[in-house]
Amino acid sequence: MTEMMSQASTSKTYDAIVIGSGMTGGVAARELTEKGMQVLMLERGTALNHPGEYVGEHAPNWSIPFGGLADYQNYKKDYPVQSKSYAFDEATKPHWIKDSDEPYLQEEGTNFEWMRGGRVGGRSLMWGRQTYRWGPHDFTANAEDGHGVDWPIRYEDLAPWYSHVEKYIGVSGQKEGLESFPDGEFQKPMEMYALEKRIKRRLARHASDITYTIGRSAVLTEPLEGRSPCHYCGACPRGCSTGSYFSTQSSTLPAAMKTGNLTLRPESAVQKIIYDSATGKATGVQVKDMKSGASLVYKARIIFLNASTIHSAQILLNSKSAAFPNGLANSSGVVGRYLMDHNEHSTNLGIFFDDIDRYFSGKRPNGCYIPRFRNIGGQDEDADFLRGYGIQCNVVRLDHRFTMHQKGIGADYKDAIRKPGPWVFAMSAFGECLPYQENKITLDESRRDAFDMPLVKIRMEFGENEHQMRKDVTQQADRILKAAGAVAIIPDDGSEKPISAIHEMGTVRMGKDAKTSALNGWNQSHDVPNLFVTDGAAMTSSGNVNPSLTYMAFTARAADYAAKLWKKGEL
Amino acid sequence: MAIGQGTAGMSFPRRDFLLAAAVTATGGAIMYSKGLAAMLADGDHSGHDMPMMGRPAYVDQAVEVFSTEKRALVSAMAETLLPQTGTPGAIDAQVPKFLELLYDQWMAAPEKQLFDRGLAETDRQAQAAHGKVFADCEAAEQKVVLEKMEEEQGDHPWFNFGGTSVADDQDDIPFMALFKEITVVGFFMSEVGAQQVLRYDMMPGNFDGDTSLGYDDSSWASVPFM
Ligand SMILES: Cc1cc2nc3c(=O)[nH]c(=O)nc-3n(C[C@H](O)[C@H](O)[C@H](O)COP(=O)(O)OP(=O)(O)OC[C@H]3O[C@@H](n4cnc5c(N)ncnc54)[C@H](O)[C@@H]3O)c2cc1C
Repeated sequence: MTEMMSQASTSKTYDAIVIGSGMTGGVAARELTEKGMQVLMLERGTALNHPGEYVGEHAPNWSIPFGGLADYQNYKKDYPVQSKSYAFDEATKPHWIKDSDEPYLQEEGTNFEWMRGGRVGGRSLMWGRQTYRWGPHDFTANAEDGHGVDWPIRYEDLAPWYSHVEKYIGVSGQKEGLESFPDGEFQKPMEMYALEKRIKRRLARHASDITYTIGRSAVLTEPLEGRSPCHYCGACPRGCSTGSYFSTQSSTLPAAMKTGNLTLRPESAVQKIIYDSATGKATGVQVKDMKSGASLVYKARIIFLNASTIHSAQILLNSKSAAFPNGLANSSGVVGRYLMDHNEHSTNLGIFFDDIDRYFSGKRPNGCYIPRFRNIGGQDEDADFLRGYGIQCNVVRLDHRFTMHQKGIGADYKDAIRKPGPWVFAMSAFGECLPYQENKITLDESRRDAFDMPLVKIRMEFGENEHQMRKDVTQQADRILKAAGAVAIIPDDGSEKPISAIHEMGTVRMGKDAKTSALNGWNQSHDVPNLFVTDGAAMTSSGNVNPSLTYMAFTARAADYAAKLWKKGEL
Repeated sequence: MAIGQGTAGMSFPRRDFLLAAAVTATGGAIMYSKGLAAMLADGDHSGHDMPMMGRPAYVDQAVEVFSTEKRALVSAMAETLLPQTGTPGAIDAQVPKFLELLYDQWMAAPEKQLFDRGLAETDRQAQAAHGKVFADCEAAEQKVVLEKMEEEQGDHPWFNFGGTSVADDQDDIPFMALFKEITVVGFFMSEVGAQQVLRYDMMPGNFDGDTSLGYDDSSWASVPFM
């Protein structure tokens, strides 16, 4: 996309600057440019040409370096955190940041794995594509149990924007008609495995409170805006030139480019947002050009901050002025605080004897889902934790990667590991995490990263509620696996794990009160009216479903609001 | 031969494969061929990494770090673990070359030492039991040597069902775990192993979750991130 864009100009005043080209920055750019605004998108990562420049795409197994074995010497040095992701390997590596370029600090005794994208497209390039709406209860939870401040909006406010975004990102899924797990605008669902159909039938009989549905996934099953349906090659995070999964690159960036109103500037690291105390507004941003090292200033009437939860807080905290000595838009002091991530610490497995003679063709990049069934419509009597969790379920036919660990040498061993092993049903819960003031990011001014930003220091820990919830997941998973017909169950081992759901959110939260929140119900700064923060930072609570669709719906809604004010000349 | 359908025994000429990739994707506009195929056709990757799809197989590169004796020993060991049966074995799949490349490019000093100690131990056991270096033993003798070594070293979590990878957990890894993992990976990720021992279909085009599996059918070659 880079060839066709105009040069960014430091003398012009843009209608809007969008900081970050990831999942939410892409949506902001599309929405604002389609409304006729001149937009400059600043992305510190490097350019990437879609389609075609995905280095690992459709790589034959035998061309992958080291047979795909983790290049541990290199990873220890340059990718100690990123390499822990299931989606990181030699074929996806170009999409990730190098930890050695931008390390972060952690408070002693805490362990949070911060996964990040290093290209135009951010983490939309390698995300897992699971796409769910929040339910109405998610927006009332804080008000009801008193953890965190009340959300300034309700489900009904966001519902039309969910629909709006779903229609163009493309989501395949099955309607279930549940109030707590709202249906969306779906393309036809993906097929289930024979074993999944069997499990669904058994659960309907033996655990009828459980809904078991095909994953709702931002992977196409029908053509959309020149993008092709999935061809089931199975390795999405390597990139997809047919645009079959949603990313900034496949969807929002081409749409924004088409308007002729977008200027994209990669390798542009935003350092600060510049504030003018005379007008009470942000006037632009200071950027470090990563190619020349030059410091540049770009001007705009409106700023959309979409650098991802932690980076957006980092930029605000780094934007100090006499008016905002603790960071821009931070008169409340909440910026950087109430960091949340999903509780994904309980994974439970069941082994099945069914369907030994059933197999599959095509690699379906999607699993099944059990929506939240705990504490819906009031606290369950037997639940000693608040809120709830959903469960991502995958059936996997084991192959040599799992079975090679058996004893044996020679023909018999070779023959045993060449054939499929048993079916395994893996259940990974993603649970809500309460907003705690102590979970936070701060800046260490004494150290700078490759982008010349002060290092982020993270303190992220789960509390008692999350620990209790984890125990409940393991109990419930046992019940569900038995109902599903597992012959052997391998429960969660309860061991300490890093916090690593890659659903970090909530460092610049929304709220009704400017004293206890940074943003109003339009993702607009209480302090600085032409500043909008619409990524995960804005979240007031964490819900339990994968969050990106909700960030995108908020972004589209905020962009619509900002564009209306811009048209009226109010911003 | 135990291959179900399709790609059995067929090797993939990379350029044809590209075209196949462009047409197999179902429906819709295919943007695919334009980008990557054009890049490959131009042969101009200035400023970009060469896409893996256009690269030769990993084993198609020169490496010369083993002596002739060491190469013979490693070949014999790999073939003993995964012999030619009705289907190709480790040597057919160039696994010995793969192991030499890993030794050169992938292993850190401690793993190299572990590997070398393991090789020396293999020859020592072959000498003790059969009076010859491992490479000169009969196939049946070789099997007994590796089985015995595995028995002696086997008490390690690597051998648990679904165990860990030596790449993630290098502490106290027994030689046989290292040797088995890298040999198996090199074998099933190879062009021959994936297509003639397992089944390989890079571009299925659709998904069917209810096909039949015969008793002797092999798994699909693996693709991560299902
Ligand atoms: C492996 C993996 C699996 C995932 N699976 C799912 C899933 O199934 N469902 C789901 O909902 N979510 C999933 N996620 C999370 C999802 O990717 C994120 O929620 C989403 O990308 C967040 O969007 P964002 O725009 O806030 O940030 P990002 O997509 O991370 O984009 C932020 C962009 O801002 C840029 N930036 C940062 N700082 C600056 C600066 N100072 N100047 C300029 N640019 C800057 C970054 O380089 C980046 O490109 C997954 C993530 C990963 C990594």
